[in-house]
Amino acid sequence: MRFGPVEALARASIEIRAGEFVAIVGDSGGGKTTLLRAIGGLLPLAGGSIAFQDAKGQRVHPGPRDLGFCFQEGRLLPWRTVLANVALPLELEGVPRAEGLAAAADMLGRMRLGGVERRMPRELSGGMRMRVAMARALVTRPRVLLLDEPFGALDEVTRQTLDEELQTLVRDSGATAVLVTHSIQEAVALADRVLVLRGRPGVSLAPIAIDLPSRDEAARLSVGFASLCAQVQAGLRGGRVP
Amino acid sequence: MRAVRAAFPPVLVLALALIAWEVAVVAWSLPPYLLPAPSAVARAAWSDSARMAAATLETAKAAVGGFALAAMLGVALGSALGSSRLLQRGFYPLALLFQMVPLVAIAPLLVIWLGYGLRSTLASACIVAVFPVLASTLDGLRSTDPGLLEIFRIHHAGRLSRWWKLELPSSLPSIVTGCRVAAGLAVIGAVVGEFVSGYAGDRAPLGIVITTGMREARTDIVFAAVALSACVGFLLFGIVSTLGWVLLRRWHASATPET
Repeated sequence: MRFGPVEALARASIEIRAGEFVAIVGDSGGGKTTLLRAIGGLLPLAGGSIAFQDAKGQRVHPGPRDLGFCFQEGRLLPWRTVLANVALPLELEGVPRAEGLAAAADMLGRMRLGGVERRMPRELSGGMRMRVAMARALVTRPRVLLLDEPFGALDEVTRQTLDEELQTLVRDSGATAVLVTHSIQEAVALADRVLVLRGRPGVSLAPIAIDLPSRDEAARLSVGFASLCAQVQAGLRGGRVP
Repeated sequence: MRAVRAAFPPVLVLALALIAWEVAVVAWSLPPYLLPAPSAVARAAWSDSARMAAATLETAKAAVGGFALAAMLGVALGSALGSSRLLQRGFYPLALLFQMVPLVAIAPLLVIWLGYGLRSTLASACIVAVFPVLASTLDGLRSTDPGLLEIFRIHHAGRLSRWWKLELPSSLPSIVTGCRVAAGLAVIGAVVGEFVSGYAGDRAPLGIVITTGMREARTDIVFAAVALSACVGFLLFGIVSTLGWVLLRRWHASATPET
């Protein structure tokens, strides 16, 4: 896959099941974001293919409402209130205004963001802005959620809180989630499987299954968690992936 | 309170300058046809207040009308050019070139086409004011955040909705700046237009008051008319700035008070 004149991603192969949470980690410049954007149809492919299948195994083309995007910068419209920002995807798809605003308010409430509907993005903290961006990504009830380092710019404490919220939201919505992150801990804590991209341009290794008995805060301190992190780390460093 | 504090230094400087001017005229006993004292200018304006008020109103009509027309035309043309690379490449250089033609040279043409009176002066104000609005609109549209454009692409937004919901609001700070420049220019355009295409009589505008004052060696009247046309510009600028502030205050740094 080529992005402009530069090859960003050499070879990546993964089959993601419906409802699965997959994290992509890798060297910077290794094509993580390229892969995610290609999945979302934001980049033309120079080679290879990306296919979506429905429950019956038929190839389908995802509509705009089937994909939810969340970017690191949040990308909220600064002149719109929080509520109007969250309602934007519905508005662009022609959902009646009142209906869209009601759905947006409902989503904000679900994310415990009730009370900030009338605020402007710049009046919010970085963490709050990201939660609003997440609410916007989820407001169309997408079947596939694509997350590009959504919490990359946040401090560690906020990040962990948001990780937990994200996990609950994704599980509750039943959406398939693909998360690009540079944090191995975050990848292991959230994902069912971790895809490691190694080298520049990136080459994907066999996905590492994350098998943890629980996903609560204590799990992050367990031996199993540490060993899984070490496995991912080894993959990144070029060691043998078991 | 903030407004009073902000207005104090320039008002003080202006007052000091007027006092220095008054003193200089008296001290060197300058003849009034060369440089009348500020007090003489004020007296002349006062004694002729009905004509001055009518003239100011007439010039304000041309300037405000010309500005409003320029603002709408500028945003519309800028958006049209911004929507297509081809249009932009074809028309923008010509717009630039058109901007270089001196207004005083076009003004007689306006009289030929539109006749003497408000229509010509309004058109003349519009012609000088339209370019800054057009340029700032185009500039604003071109600097739309690509990340935000992508959000609209993801949701398959149409061209019109992308313009109305994304590109136009994100260009607003730039458009407001262009409009503030245009506000000042509109008054210049109106007065220059009046020099050429103005009309005498009860409703003679400030441009005509200035030219007749010059012919009659009434320098005090000339000064009074100049001061009044500056006031029209100041007022228009103030209205545009306030409108801009109202539109931007909740989200843009340019409308946030300095701390």
